[in-house]
Amino acid sequence: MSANEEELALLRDAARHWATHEAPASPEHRRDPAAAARRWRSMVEMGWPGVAVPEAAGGAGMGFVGMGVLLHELGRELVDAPLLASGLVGAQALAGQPQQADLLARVAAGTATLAVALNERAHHAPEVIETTAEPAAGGWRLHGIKRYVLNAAEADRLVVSARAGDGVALFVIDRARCGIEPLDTIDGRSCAHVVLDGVDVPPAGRLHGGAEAVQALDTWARLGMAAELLGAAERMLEITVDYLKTREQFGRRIGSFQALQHRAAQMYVAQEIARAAVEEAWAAADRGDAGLARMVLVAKQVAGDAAHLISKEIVQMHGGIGMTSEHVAGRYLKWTRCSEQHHGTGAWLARRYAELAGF
Amino acid sequence: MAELDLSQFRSMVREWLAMHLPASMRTPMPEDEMPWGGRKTRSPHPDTERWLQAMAAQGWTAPTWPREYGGAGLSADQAAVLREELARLQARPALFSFGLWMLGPVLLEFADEAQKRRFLPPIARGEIRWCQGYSEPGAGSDLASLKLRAVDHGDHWRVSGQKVWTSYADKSDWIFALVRTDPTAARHLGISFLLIDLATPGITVRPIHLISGSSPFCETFFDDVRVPKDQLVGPLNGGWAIAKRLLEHERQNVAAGGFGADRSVTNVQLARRVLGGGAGEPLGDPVLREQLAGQAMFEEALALCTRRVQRSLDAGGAGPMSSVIKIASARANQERAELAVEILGMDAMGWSGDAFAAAAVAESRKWLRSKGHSIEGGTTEINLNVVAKRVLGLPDQ
Repeated sequence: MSANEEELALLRDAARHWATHEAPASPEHRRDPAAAARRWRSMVEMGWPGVAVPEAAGGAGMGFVGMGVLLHELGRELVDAPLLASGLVGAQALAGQPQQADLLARVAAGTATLAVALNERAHHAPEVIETTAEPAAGGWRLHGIKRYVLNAAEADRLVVSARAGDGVALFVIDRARCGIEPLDTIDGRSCAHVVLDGVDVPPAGRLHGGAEAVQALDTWARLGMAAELLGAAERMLEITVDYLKTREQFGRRIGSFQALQHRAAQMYVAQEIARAAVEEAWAAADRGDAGLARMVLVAKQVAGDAAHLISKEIVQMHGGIGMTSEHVAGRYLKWTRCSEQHHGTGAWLARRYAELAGF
Repeated sequence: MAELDLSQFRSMVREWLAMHLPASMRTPMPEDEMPWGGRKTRSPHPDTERWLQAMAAQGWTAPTWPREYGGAGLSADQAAVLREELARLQARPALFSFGLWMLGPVLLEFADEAQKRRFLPPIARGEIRWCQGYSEPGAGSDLASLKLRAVDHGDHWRVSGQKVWTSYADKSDWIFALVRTDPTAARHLGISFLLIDLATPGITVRPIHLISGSSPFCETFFDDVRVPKDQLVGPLNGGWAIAKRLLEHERQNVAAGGFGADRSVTNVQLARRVLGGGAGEPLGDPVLREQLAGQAMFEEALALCTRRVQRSLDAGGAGPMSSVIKIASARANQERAELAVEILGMDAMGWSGDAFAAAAVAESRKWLRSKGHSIEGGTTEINLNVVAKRVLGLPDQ
C-alpha cells in the first residue's frame, strides 16, 4: 500500500513549507545539535519517521514513495536529520523481524532512533567486514570499528554488520555501549566513527539474514541518498538560475550569455534524467520490483552526477561571492561531495552494476 | 476500447498478440527489413506486410489517434500498456514512419477536417510515406531564414527553390514542407506549412553521401511546382507554430527510437568477443568494465526519462522535454559508438574488403553516422537554447 498522487502532493507541499521555513540551508556548516534535535522533534510530531512503515507495524503506510518525497525535500535544504538512517534504513532492518516488532513500532513513532553502521573504510565498501561477533555470555560480543556512520551520536540503537563464524550478520546494539567519536565534517552532518570494544549483545539482538541483508540495507540507504542528492541538485539549480537572471555585468544580465545558458541547460538535462531514475526507483520499491538493487545503483549514479555537476557550477557561476562563507553555494558543494561518498561513489557503483549485469 | 480498464485491456492485447504477431516478427530486425511503408519500397520479409496490416486494422499503428483517422482512440495509459506488451514480446515495430511520428500529430492539431480525413488514414495504414522539407542550404539551425518560395496563382501555389537534408526523399511519396508565402513579412510571419506530392512534375531528388557511406538524406529541388491550394495546413503565413510543434514530436521520436541505430550487438557483447571470458565473469579490462557500466547506467536512466516524456506526449504534449531527451540520447549514442570502436581497436579502421569483419565495419560506420545525431532534428546547441529559454526562462538580454 502506498499514498495516492494527491496525498503525496500534500506531503510534498507540507515538507517544502516546513523545510524552507524551519530548516532553510545556511552558509554555516558547523552543527548546532540543539537546533537539530528541535527539528527532529518537529519531524516526529508530523509523523515522518513512520511514513514508509506499514500501518500494521505502527507506521503511516504511505509507502516508500512517501519517504522519497520527504528525503528529497530535506535534501533541498540540506537538513541534517536521522530520517534516512532511522525512518528508512533502520526501519527496513527491523521489518520482518518478529523479535524486533516493538522496537520497529517505536522507530516508526519516533520514540526510538536508529543509525546503521555498515562501512569500515575510507571508501564505501560494505562488503569488507572486519568487525567480529564472537559467541559470549549466551549471546554475542562485538569487536571492531565502523567508520563514517551518519547520525550515530543521536541514535538510541545501532544496526551494525559483523562477521559471525563463517558468515555475516546484522546486530542491533545499544548506542550507549559503543564508543562514539564524533567527526567535524565539511558538510556539518552528524557523522561519527563507532568503536565496538567488546559490546555484548543478547541472542535476540542478532537479526535474521546474512550478507544479502547487509546488501539490502545498503541499497535502502543508497536510495535515500539518491533522493537527497536529487533534492540538493534541484535547489542548487534554482539558486543558480535565479542568480543568472539578476546579476548584471557588461550592462546586461549574465543569464543572457549563451555560454552560461548552455551550461545551465546541461545541468537541467542531468537533473531531469536523475529525477526519472530516482522517482522510478522509489516506485519500484513499492512494487517490490526484483530489479530494485540495480535501479537504485543507477539512481544514485545519475543523481550523484547531476549534483556533482551542479555543485561545481553553483560556485563558478556565482563568481567570487560563491567562494565566500557568507553564501550558501559552498555549503551545497560540501554537502554534495559528502553525500556522493556515502553508500557508493561512481566507480564502486559501476563495478557493482557490472557484477549484477554479469560482466 | 476506452471502456476497458487497464488490466482488461492488457489481457485483450495479450490475446490478440498471441493470435496475430508472427513469430518471425519477434526476431531482431535487419536494417533492410525496416517497415517504412509507402509505395516505393517493400520490406524483403514477407511477414512485414502481414504484421503491418494486422496492426493497422486494429488502429494500433497510431494507437492514440481517433478511430475516424485510422487510430484506435486509446488513452495515454492504454497506449503505454500496448507499448509494454509489444516490448515484452520483443515485437518488431509494425510501421516506421515520419508520418506517424511527426506529421500526424500536427495534422491532428492544426489541419482542417477534410485534410485529416484525407491524409491521416493512409499514414496509419503505411500506404503513404512522408519526408520532411525543413532545412535549406542557407537555413540550418536558423530555420526561419528559409527561402523556398510558394507564389499564389489563384487556385494553386507555384513552388520554387531547394530543400536539403530531406530524409529518404528518394523513397518517399509526399513531403511536408515549410515554404515562404510572404517574403515581405518578418521572417517567422511569412512561413506556411504545405503538403506536396513528390510525383508532381518539377521535383528532383538527389541523395547526399554521408561520411559513414550511407545516404539517408537528400537534396530536393522544386522548379515551378504546382501545388493545389487545399494542401496548405493551418493559417496562411501561420506555419511557424506548426513547424515548432512538429520539431518537438521529431525530437521526442528520434530520441525514443535511438535514432534508428542498430543495437542488436551491445558493447558488452563486443567486449566479450575481444577480451573473452564467459557470462558472469568480470571482464578482463577493469577500466573498460567501469566505462561500460557507466554508459549502461546512464542509458538505463535515460530510458526511464524517455518513457516518461513519451507518456506526457501521449497525454497531450511533451513540450521542451523533447529537447532534453534529444540532447541526452544524442550524447549517449555517440559515447556508445566511440566506445565500440575503441573496443575493436584497429579492426575498426576498415572501410571495406575481406580483411575486415562485416561486424567491425558496421560498428565503424555506426560510429561515423552517430556524429549526425547531435546535428539532425535540431542541433544540440539549438536544443540547449530551447531548454535555457523555455524551461529555465533565461533572458535574451
